[in-house]
Parts: sequence; C-alpha cells; structure tokens
Amino acid sequence: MKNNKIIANIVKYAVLLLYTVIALFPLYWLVTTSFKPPLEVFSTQPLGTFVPSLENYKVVLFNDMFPKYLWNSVIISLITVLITLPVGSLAGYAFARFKIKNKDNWFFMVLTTRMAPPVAFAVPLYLLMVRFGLVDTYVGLIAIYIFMNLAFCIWLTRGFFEEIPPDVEEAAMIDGCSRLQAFWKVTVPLTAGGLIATGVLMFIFTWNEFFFASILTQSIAKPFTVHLTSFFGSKRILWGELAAASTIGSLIPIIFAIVMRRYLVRGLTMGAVK
Amino acid sequence: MEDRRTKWIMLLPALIVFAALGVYPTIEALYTSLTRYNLTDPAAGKVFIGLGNYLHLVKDVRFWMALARAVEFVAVSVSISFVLGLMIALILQKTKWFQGFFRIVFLVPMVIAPTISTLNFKFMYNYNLGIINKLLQAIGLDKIDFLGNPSLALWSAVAVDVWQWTPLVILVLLSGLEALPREPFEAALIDGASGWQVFRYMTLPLLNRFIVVVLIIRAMDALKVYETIQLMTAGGPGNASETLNTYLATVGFQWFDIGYASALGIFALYFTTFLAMILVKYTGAFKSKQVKA
Repeated sequence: MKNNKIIANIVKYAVLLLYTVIALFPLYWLVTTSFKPPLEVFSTQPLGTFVPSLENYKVVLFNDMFPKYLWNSVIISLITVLITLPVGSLAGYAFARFKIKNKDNWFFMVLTTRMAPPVAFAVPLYLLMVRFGLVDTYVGLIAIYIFMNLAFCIWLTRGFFEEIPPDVEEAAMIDGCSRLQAFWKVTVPLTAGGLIATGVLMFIFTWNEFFFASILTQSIAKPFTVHLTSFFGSKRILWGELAAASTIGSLIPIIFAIVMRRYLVRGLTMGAVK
Repeated sequence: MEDRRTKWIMLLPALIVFAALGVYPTIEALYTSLTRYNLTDPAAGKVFIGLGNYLHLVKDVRFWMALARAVEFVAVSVSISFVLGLMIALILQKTKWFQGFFRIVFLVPMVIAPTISTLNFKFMYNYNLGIINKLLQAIGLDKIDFLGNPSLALWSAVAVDVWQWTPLVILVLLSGLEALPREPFEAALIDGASGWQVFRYMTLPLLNRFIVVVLIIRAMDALKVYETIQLMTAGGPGNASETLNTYLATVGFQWFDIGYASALGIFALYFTTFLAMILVKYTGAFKSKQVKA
C-alpha cells in the first residue's frame, strides 16, 4: 500500500516535470538563441555552453528597422485600447443594467465576431480600406482592431458591472447625479481593476495580431509582428536576430500578463470562468 | 424614460462600430460573393454571376480538403490539449509545492504572439539545424522532416497550438477543481470508493461546466488559427497542411479572386455561427444574468 503510494507520487512528479520541461524549452531556446554570438547560433552542440553576446540585439536595435515597427505596435495597440475601452464599457454597462430586447440574440452576434476567423472578414474589410484610402495607415488598422476587440470588451466589462449592486448607483442618483454621472463617479471607480485588466488584455491581443496587419500594411503602419517575417531572406535566415527581436517583442505581453494574472483566465474565457 | 435615452446613448458608439465594420462589410461580402471580381483584371470590374461562386465552392475539391483539415486540426488540437491539461491540473491540484511558480510559467505561452511561437518552432523543427533533430541524433535516432513531410506538416503545426494553449486548459480546470466542495470526496473515500470511481462519478460531473467552457474556447481559438500554419509551412508541402483560413487568404490575397474569396468568407461566417449556435444554445455556458430594469 505504502509502496504503491510512493510509486504513484513518483509517476505524478515525473509527468509534471516532463510537461514543465516541454512547456519551458521553446522559451529557453528562444532566449538563449538571442544571446548567442552569430557563429554559435547553429553550433553543433545542442545544449553546449557559450559566451553570451549582445550582438543580435545590437543589430536588431541599431542596424534594422525593428525599433520603428515596434513603436508602431505601441501606438496602434495603445490607441486601440484607449478607444475600445470607453466604447465597450458603455455598451457593457447598458447590457448589465438595462432591459434590452432579445439580449441573447445580441450576445450571439457579439460572440460570432469573437469566434469567426478574422479571415472571414478579410476581403470586405480590405475592400473597405482600399475604398477609403486607409491601406497602410494607422487609422485603417486601428479601426479594424477596435471592431475585433469590441465584442470581447463589452462582454467582459458587462460581467464586472453585474458584480456591483445597482443600489450604489441609485443612491448617487437620489443625491442628484444623472445615470451617466453615477456610472462615471461610482461604478467606474468600483470596477477599475477589472476595466484596467480588460484594457491590458486587449492591448496584448492587438500587440500580437498578425493577419490583418500582414494584408493591410506595407511599410508605414507595419507592426513588429509582420516585420519579424522579414528576417527570412532569400539566401539565409537570420535566426539570431529573429530570436532577439522576438524576445523584445514578448516582454510587454509577459510583464502585462504577470501583473494581470488574477484576471487572465477570466478574460481568456470571455468571463465564463471567474 | 430618462433611462431609455441613456441606454441608447451608451449603446450608440458600439452600434456604430458594429454597423460600419461588421454589418456593412458583411452585406458587401454577400453581394461581392455573387459576382466575378478579380483585382488582376480591373477592366472587367464586378460581373454579376448569381450563385456561380457557390457552385464553384461545392465542386472545389481543394476547398473541401482544406475544410476537412481545419476540422481535423481543431479536433486533434483540442483533444490533446484537453487530456494533457486535465492530467496536469489534477496533479497540480494535489501538489502544494511550486503552485505559484507553475501558474506564472503557464501564462507565458498563452500571451506571446503566435507569430513568435510559430517562427521559434520553425527554427527548432529545422531539418538540418533545428535543435529537435540534433537532440534526436544525439540519442541515436533518425532525423524527422517535420515540415517537409506532407504527412507530418499539419501535425507539426498542431503541436505549436497545443503548446500554446494547454496552459489555458490547466488554469481553467484548476479554478474548477479549487471550487469543488471537499466533504463529499472525503466521505466517498471513507466509504471505500476507488480513486478512479471518485474521479469518474464525482470529479468529472462536478467539473462539467468548466470542461464545457474550456472546450468551447479552445475550439473557437483552434478554428481561428492562421499564423501557426501560414508562417510555418504556408499550407505546404503542396497543399498538405492547408486549412480553410490559409486557403481563403491565398484565394483573396494571392490570386485576388475577390468574388470567390467573398463566397468562402460567407461560408466561414455561417459555418462558425452555426457551430457557435450549437455550442452556446445547448450548453448555456455563457448565459448572461437576467437583470430587472
């Protein structure tokens, strides 16, 4: 009996260890590759030691367009969040507090925009952007990202607002606030944590987006995700530089995710798991 | 009365966005899907051809193959990540060590860009230079041509998806396991139920809601996968790893066959809406609370 328990425990920890190694290895490989001197990137020693060098980072940060496109990603993601969050929160609040006819059907439409592959909207959105001359502009890409994130934002903020009892707002309204003032002065501060988390998650989604960026931008508004593919030359692939650029591009999402980890699962499950 | 006006004021900005970027393009896509419209032949413009594109779609073997692969991709990716995630969650729940460490570690694959994880895996998969093949050789095995072998390419992409999203399964099911009451489990074990019986007849049914949610979310995300295939194999070798999404992108943005690509897009939209309906209406996983106004 006791031996069985020990064996069961050993098996459990072995499985856990194996999974952890597999889960972490690609990240380990990415980061160590980025610090390898150019000649070591393909060294035949798979796990050999090497003297870390900043060569790849130097190239990426000083001899490449990468910083410009990274900055594009910052601007595009930031503006997307700053517009989507207010627009989505207002609608989320309306969904949480008011009677809306056919609420479930509305929700369904909202869910569809979250669920449908972006590719399904690609052709008509591309034509729209061509018609308005918004190809390769911040405005065009941001407009699409607002649309892509809005459903998510409405749904998540609705959940946060529902957790606040309506009485607090009603008390403020008895004191002479309008509904919108009560929302702004009472509800928003009470749900600030959730709202910020929603914004941070949308930032991560936008930061990581590739498909629309790849069809709608060439050079001016290109975000860093699309630029990563340019390390694939016709003659050789700059794996070291690519790894350095990828590591830099992963820092923001990772830091944000760790700070917001309390809300991450809730966000990724559209509020279904709290 | 005042609330009525407030309600519309609050909903209006969102409605404008949905109308401009959701409804209007969808209507345009519907119309465009009934025309022959190729950007490589601008002189011809849009020519109305009725259901021509849809007839072509029905007969297009490459399309059906791509759809089948997309369904396979979803089925395999979701089931592997679910079984693996459930296993790890059950083990983690019982270990009090490292919980915090694991919870942070598991966040990372989920939040880095699929572009990055895909290109990184592409580097590791490389036939001559990749670390995976070097490790295989180091332990005396043959090299595997992950991306060049038509029967492996799609599964190499599935592996990336599994790697990225198994942590989500783990974290959701861990939340579920933590929410379970303790007493019935202790009572069952005292009454002599085996570990397997407890798992089969108590844990799984009680976790039901979390399982449904995580399966729906995983299926949604796996159905949206684009970069993981496009950047790894570009649908190749041949069309061996082409899915609905990458095929649609090829038709629309390489051949510029806008009419047919619109028809494919409308199909994809209906297909996912239909799936969403089945999943959501019958599981009730995402029900909103009914509020009294």
